[in-house]
Amino acid sequence: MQQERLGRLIEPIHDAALAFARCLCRSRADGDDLFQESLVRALDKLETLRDDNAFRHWLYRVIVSVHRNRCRRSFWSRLVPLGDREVAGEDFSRGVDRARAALATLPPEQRETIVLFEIEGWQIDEIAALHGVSASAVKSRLVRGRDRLRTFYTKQLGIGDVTPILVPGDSP
Amino acid sequence: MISADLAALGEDSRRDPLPRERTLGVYRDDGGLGAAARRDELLEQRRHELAFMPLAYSHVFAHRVGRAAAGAASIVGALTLLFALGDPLVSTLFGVARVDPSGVAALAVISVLMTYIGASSLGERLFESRMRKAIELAGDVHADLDRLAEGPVDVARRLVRRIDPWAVAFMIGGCICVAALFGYTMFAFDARAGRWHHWTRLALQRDLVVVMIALAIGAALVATVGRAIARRSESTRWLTHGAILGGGLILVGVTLYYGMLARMLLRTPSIATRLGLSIAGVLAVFAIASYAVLWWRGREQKRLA
Repeated sequence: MQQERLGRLIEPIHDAALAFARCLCRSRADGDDLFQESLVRALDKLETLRDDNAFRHWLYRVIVSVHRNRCRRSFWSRLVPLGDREVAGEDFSRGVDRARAALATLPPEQRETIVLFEIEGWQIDEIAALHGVSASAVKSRLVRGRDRLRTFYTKQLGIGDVTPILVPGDSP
Repeated sequence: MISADLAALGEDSRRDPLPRERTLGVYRDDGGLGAAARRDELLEQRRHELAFMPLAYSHVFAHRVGRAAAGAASIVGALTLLFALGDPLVSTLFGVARVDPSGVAALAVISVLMTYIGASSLGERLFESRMRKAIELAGDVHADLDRLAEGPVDVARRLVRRIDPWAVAFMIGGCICVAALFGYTMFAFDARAGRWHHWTRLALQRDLVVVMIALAIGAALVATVGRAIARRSESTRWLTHGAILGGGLILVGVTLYYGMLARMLLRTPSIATRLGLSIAGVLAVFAIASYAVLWWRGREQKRLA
């Protein structure tokens, strides 16, 4: 019964939520895994969702929560020169690979904020509501995330001419 | 450039979305090589489990099936004979009237033993077939993965636990019924042998009601014990205390003493006394049988642990 309910609720946002999960991860396959794990958790907790209209935010919150758990779980990967931090030897000729590698250097909350704002096109207050923080905190995360991305592009990839990402309300 | 790369990432992530039926299912890959490899690995693991599984599970299950069947057979047989003895027409038609206590005892022992041996053997075969099924492949990878998620040891534990309350309840119930039948047969034999010539067949029928009341109390006690064991409650532990056995033996002595007294005095005890003796007899057998069965069950649990 809950599976049917989940199937019905997820229908309009399935592809967008899957794309969000894929953007958060280092590879598409990892993103698919994250989405699958999030759906399993969502199915498990679906009975706690009272208002079906709030499903979109609720599912994204589940994805964010599972993503953070996975980041915490793989803390040891920072100690070895593999995975997210590996830059040398990788092919960055494709913009997608560059973006993935750059996003992987961000802390999870900055990564989620950048993806939601820049790629998914969410508004600041929507992101603030999703993360349960103030709008200024979201803006701060965007600015810090943007700085880190720029640093990655200039220092790690050696690309000097980087157009900064602008947050609405900021002066260029 | 960063914006362009992020936009490219967004485009790439939206490309080739997974079908909904796959993301909402348990498995993301639809029976590919990964699932088959997982299945094969799990199958190997389960086969090892089965090979090294202690034989105690099989033995305990078979004995419990045997006890449950023997108990059930005792209950059915004893109740049938009780009704046959109490009904003048049936007892005359089928020659039950000629049955004496030693005949009943011999019949009960032989039939219970035969049932126990037959049911134990059947239980072993059933256990074997369930174990074989636990590591069998059906062909569909995901169905196999689902089935292999539960190993042979889990299946064996579940089988042993499921039969446990039945084995205990039927065994105690069977002991109570056979004891009641034995007591009633002695009484009927005496009446028909003319020792208590003033007792009529109607009195026999009336006393069947007395025995039935006592048996109903016994059935309620047995159901309570069986239910507690099914719920894995510790509330039956007090039944394995030595005092229960002692109390049961004292009750047996008291019941036999008053029974013998009535026989020797050639006097019909009152209905209240007869009812009291029947209930005391049932309680005594319940106490002794519970002690013995639960003590034996405790030994089995230790073997399984």
